[in-house]
Parts: sequence; C-alpha cells; structure tokens
Amino acid sequence: MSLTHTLSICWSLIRASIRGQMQYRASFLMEVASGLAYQSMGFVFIWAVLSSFQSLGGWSLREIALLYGMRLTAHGLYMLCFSNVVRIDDFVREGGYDRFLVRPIPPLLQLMFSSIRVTVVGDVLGGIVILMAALTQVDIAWSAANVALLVLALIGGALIDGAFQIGPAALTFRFLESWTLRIIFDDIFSRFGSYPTSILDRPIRSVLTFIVPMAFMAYLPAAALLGRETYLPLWMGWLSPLVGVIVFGLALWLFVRASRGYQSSGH
Amino acid sequence: MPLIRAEHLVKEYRRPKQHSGSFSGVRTLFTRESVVTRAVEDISFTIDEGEVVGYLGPNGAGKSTTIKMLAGILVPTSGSCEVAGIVPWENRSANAMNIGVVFGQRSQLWWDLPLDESLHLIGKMYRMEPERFRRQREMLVDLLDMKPFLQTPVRQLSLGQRMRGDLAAAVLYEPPVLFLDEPTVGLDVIAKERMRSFVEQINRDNRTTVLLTTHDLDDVERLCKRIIIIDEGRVLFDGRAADLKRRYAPHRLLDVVVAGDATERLETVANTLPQGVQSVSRDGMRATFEIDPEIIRVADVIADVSSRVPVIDLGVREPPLEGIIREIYEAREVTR
Amino acid sequence: MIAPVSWRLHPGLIACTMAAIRRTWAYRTRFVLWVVRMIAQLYLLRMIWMALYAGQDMVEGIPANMMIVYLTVAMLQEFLIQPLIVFEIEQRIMRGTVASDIVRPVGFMHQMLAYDFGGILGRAPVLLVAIPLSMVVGSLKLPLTPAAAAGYAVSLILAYLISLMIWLVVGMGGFWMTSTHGLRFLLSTIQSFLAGAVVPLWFLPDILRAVLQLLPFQGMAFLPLSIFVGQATGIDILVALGIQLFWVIVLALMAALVWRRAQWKLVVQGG
Repeated sequence: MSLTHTLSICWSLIRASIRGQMQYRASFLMEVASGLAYQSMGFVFIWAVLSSFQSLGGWSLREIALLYGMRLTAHGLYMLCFSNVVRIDDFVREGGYDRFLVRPIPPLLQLMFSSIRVTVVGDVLGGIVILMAALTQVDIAWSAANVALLVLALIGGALIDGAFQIGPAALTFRFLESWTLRIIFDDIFSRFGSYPTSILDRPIRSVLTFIVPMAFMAYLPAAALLGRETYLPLWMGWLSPLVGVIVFGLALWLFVRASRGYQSSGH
Repeated sequence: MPLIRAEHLVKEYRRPKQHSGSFSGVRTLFTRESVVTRAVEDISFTIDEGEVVGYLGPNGAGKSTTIKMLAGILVPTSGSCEVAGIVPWENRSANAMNIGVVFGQRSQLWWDLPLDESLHLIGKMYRMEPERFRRQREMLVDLLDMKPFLQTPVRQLSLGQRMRGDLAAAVLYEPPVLFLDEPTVGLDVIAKERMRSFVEQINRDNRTTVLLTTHDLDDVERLCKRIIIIDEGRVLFDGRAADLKRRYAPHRLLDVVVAGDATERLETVANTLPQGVQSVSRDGMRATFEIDPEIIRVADVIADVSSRVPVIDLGVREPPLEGIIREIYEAREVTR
Repeated sequence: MIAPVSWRLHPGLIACTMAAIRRTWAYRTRFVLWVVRMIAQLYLLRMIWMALYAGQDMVEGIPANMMIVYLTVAMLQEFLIQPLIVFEIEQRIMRGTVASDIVRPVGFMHQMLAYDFGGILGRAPVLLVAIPLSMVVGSLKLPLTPAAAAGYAVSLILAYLISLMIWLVVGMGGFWMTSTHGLRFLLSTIQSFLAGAVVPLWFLPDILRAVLQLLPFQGMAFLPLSIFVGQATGIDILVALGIQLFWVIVLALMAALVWRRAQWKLVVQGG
C-alpha cells in the first residue's frame, strides 16, 4: 500500500471523526477551554513560583518557558495522532477492535484515527503560543541548524511520548487493560517533562535519561538550543529524534507482536 | 479449486486468571496463571466458489471463532486456513480486500456519521475507482431501499435499517467472499426477508461465496444448499441440506383437510393407516400424517386417503430443518 | 411539595453511606495506584522545590522543609476530599432517575450527601498506609502545637464542606445544562491551583494572591495547610476558620437556592 494512499485515508478518517463530533457541539467549547487550562496550569505554576524564586536549576523563567513550550507543542503533536490510543482497553475488551482487523488498513492507524478529540487542538495551540512567546524572550543565535534542531526536537518529543503510550498499550492484548501503566507514564511526562532534568537525583535522572528517555523530550534539545551546560555533552540534544525513532520503533514492534494474541470478545 | 479451506483448525482462548478478594486487580495484572478454554477443537472443511453454506451449531460451539479466524481477526492456535489463496492472519490487508464481514451483534459502521459517509469511507479504504464506487453505491441504495435514511447518522437508524447499511458496507467493494455472523438476529419478518433475498441475489449475480451462521433455520432453508453443523468445536455434519434430512429425518409430512361433515371418517382413516404411515396430529377436519418413503410411496398414501374421505386440500412437505437439528443437538446431550 | 431539608437520621441514610463505602472499595486497585503515584510525585516535587530553594534557608519567610510538609499534606487531603458527588448527581440527572429519587423517603439531597460521606469513610483507611509512607518520603511532620492540631482538625472539616458545596452547585448545573462534563473538568483542573494546593499563596505574585484571597477556594487547601504547618498561629488561626465558615454559609445558601429552583424545575416542568 502506498504512503500517499495511507495518508489520504487517514485524512478521510480524521475528517469523518471531526464531523462526527461536531454533532455534540454543546460542551465542546468548554472542553477545549479545559484542555487548554489543564495544559497551561503547569506553566502558571512555573510563572507563579519563579516570581518568588528567581531560577530553577539555574534556568530563568524565560528559559523554562522555552522548555515548557517545546514540551507542550511536542505533546500536542503526540495528542493529535495518538490521543485515541487511550481507548484501547475498551476496544479490546469489548471486541470493537474486530472491525479494525477486517479492513485493508493497518489496525493501529484505524485505532489512532477512529476518533480524534478536537479538543487536542487546544493543546497544540497552547504549546505554540508559549513556545513562540518564549522564543522572542530568550537569547538564541538563529541559524538553519538551530531551526532544524527545534523542529527535530518537537518530532522526537512527540515520538517518545507516543512510544510510551503504544508500548504499554500492547499489554492490553494480554491483560485486557493497560491504563494503569499508561497513566503513570503520562503523569510523569506531563508533570516533570518540562523542568530541567538536571534537578533530579542522580539515579532517577539516569533512569529518566537512558531508560525512559524523558530528558530527550525537551530538556536536552532546549539546553542545546540555549547553549546551557547539562550533565551530558551539548550535542546530545541532537539525538532527540533518533531516540524518538528507536523507542517508537520498539513500541510499534511490541504492539504488532502482542496484537497477534488478540482474543476478540465472546466466542 | 476451493475458495475457502480450513484444515484442522484449533483455537484456544487464554484469559488471565481472575483473582478475587483484596487487591485482585493488581494480582491479576502480575499473575502468570491463565485459564485456557478450547473454543475450536478440530475443524476442517472446504468451500467452493459460489457456494452458500450454513454454518450451524448451538451457542458456544465455535461458530464465531471459526469465522473470526477466516476473517483474520484471530490467529489460530494450530491448524491452517486459507481464503482465496491467502492466509488471513498473515496477510490481513490482502485478505480484507477479498472478504466482506457482517456481525449482526455489532455494527461496522461509523456510529456518529450518516450512513452515506460510512460508505464513502469504505470506498476509499478499499481503493475503489470513483466511477465504480458511484455505480455500486447506486445499485445498493436501490436494491436495499436505503434512500430514505442514507443521510441519517447510524446511531439513529432502526436495527433493520442498520443491518441493511452493514450489508451494503460489506459488499460495496464486491468481495468474492462474504461472512455473515447472525445477520438476521433481532430483525422482523419483513427485514429478514429483504436480507435473504439480497444475499440470494448477490450470490446469483456475482457468484459471491457466502458463509452464514445463524440461529434462524428459515435463513438456512431459504439460502443454503449446504450445511456444516458443529458442536463443541468439531464438525458433526457437513453436506447437502437434503442429505441431512434424508439421513436424520427421511419421512415426508402429508397435511390433509377434509370437508366439515367428514371429520368422523377422517378419524377412522387415522386409526387404520397402512404400514409406514403414522398420524402426527389431528384437529377436527385437519390431520397430518408422517410417511416413510422407504416403505410406502407418498402417491399411494394420497390415493388411499382420498378414496376414503372427501379431501378438500392436501399438501406434502419435508420435515422442517429446525426439528432435525434440535434432534441432533439433543442426541448429543444424551450421549455426552 | 418541596420537602424541607430535615436532618433527622433516617436508617436509609446509613444504608446509602454503607453502599458508598462498598462502592469505593470496588475500586481498590486504584488506591494502590494512587499510593504509588503519590509517592512518586512527592519524591519528584521534593526535588523540584529543593532546586527552587537552591540552598537558601528561607524564601518569603518559609523554610524549605515546611514547604515539603505543606505539599505532602495537600496531597493527602486532596485524596480524602474528592468531588465524587458531582459525578453522582450528573449521572442521576442524565439517566433521569432524579425524579424517582426525589420521592423516596430519604430525599435526593440527603442521599447525595450520605453518598459523598460514605466515599470519605471508604477512602480514609488508605491513609493508614499513605501517612506513614509520606512521613518517610515527604518528611511529613505532625503539627507542633495543640492549637495547630485542633485548628487544623476544624479547618479540615470546613474545607470539606466548602468543597462539597461548590461541587454540589456545579453538579446541579446539570438541571439546566445538557452536560456539566466540560465545566466539571475545567474546574477540577484549576481548583487545586486556585486552592493553593500546588503553590501556597505566599509565593504567588501580589495580584494573583489578592484575587485568590477573594475566592472560596483557598479555604479548601491553603487555609487549613497554613494552620497545619504552623505558619498561621494564634489569632490567625481564628481568622482563617472565620473565613472558611463565612464561605461555608454563603455556599450553603447558594446550594439551597439552586436546589430549590431545581426541584421547582423538576416538579413543574417535569425535568
């Protein structure tokens, strides 16, 4: 199957899902607002705290705003594509996954795009606004390399985010649920992904750098952009997309393998 | 050259063992114990192009499991199957192009979208040329009389309308194979009839091969020349419906209606029947006799009866499939 | 037709409470998850705040270890006081069972309150595990003075009542709105910030602090926690309790008013 065809089908699915949701316009705006509020709460926290405390791990409010904007934008990109993965437990337990398997499109793509939450647009917008505002405030020498670094970092961040949802989601095929694990990762990333990882204790920091590579989601690339010293060489920030591709590939492999054990529901 | 081939199919379900008591959820998550049930024990059959096969069996016999293996939804524990030369679970996408699936219990359509949009999406997924899509859609809308509700969101459709939509979605891209799992469950008489005549028509016009599971044996009587009966994951019977009747219930039923003043004479007839004929039911001017054609010819019985009473109306039928199949299941219960 | 709220203890109320306790324990797996998450969060929060303090003994007159205690208690409190009542009300309105609930011998509002209280009783035993654990991880210290301990106990009850009243009003919004889901989600997202459970009001910029001091939310976390950690002492404790009591009364009046109108809507317009 050609890539263009796949993309065009995904686009049709997305459009269909948006049209479907538009039928429930009622609490729609409220949900966009709450999505936005949820994502910006973290930033309000940093802003409020840094009005009393001058810096966090040596980073000023402006620098942390950049870190935060990068992380939130990457998370928004991830949400655009993968927000529907949270529904896998229901799909697998109740047999709704069946219908993805009898269509000539990879099941994961159908799961991803079977319903896009329009509210995630709020996440992306919030991220971009903070990111843009921060970019005007920090001192970065803009070059083609730095622009590339920023874009690649956003993609890498989204891939890492996605990997730690899709990988655990594979467990659903065996245990019929995986939300516990997915929530834990989501929690860690959304609460702590946007602070300098350097403030963490050494063992935890190592885990969140090399095993669950949270540091690559925004911190290391942001440090590379700002030219700030970290506990790793600066060029490591460039590895973010590579790390993203590796963990995402692993997660995908795990998911596809585990999906063979899908048991449908009822007999 | 068979279109569908199943060879010694086995499917075991493995469910994590559910603990009860405190922290059961956590224990379930970390436990390695699981409960294994065998839904399909050993099933083999082949189906040729253009056949319409009724796949029957009591609840839990393994019907849906077999269909799900053929559709690529489940991976068999052992054994093999092929649909149009493709191993379904190894090459799902290619298999999907060849098959249409309807699950009576669960719609394959997009819940919040108008039916028409579901059809468009499916046309796109199956890479239909716009011209071919337009032609097929028009034909199906016409044939299944879907015009009145084509723009209604699927969740607002009645069950009968939804099933028509599901059927249209399954045959839109003209798959050579159609799997129907309980397609008439919950439908009213008219909707069932519409469903049956549609399946009949696409089988006739496109030589579509159909594998049908159902609990409604009228579906089978009407559509299927061939029947496969399974129970406890094994094949009990595989052959022509007519052979099934000959083997398990070779007799014919003769319904007789006599004139109102002849009810007493009808009783006399019923009490002095020739060998090979039995009275099954009698109610005033009506009677039903069961004839064993091995012993006496049906024509002879008719001649005999009409010479003794003034017959107003009579008819010969085969025994209904339902009774036969019930008998087969019940016989199994006894030997179990 | 509109029954006056009577506070006689009906055996049905006890049954409602017991049912709520049992229901809470049906989700006991989530308790384990919650304890794990709480420990992880405490650990990480502690590092963030240590980095913020960056070796300084005090910021705005607050020592670092007091801050850690503050956040730990905030988390424990948040677990105990959960706005389950709003889900329950929403569900009953959506399923349309309110109409039948309202004519039962135990009134709808009584059922809801009993249900919420049962939830608290159901969750309370979890704290027997969570408190010792957070003493280790979050260096939880108990109040130093008897005044602080007694003040906190009263303040916690008032905090619960404030939360209860706020969510009661939000839940009853369902009588007029098609779905309170959006509003509920929005409020639950920002409430812990508004309440000062995430950042104590001490550290907020002046304008923000001034605004939050005018809202009832500070009574849900900031005021009781200030008493707990010993930042509010003597007359300040009484002032804090006074502010809380004021909000309890105002919100209760509001809830009663909304409930009266909701009943009127149910009875006269049939829901």
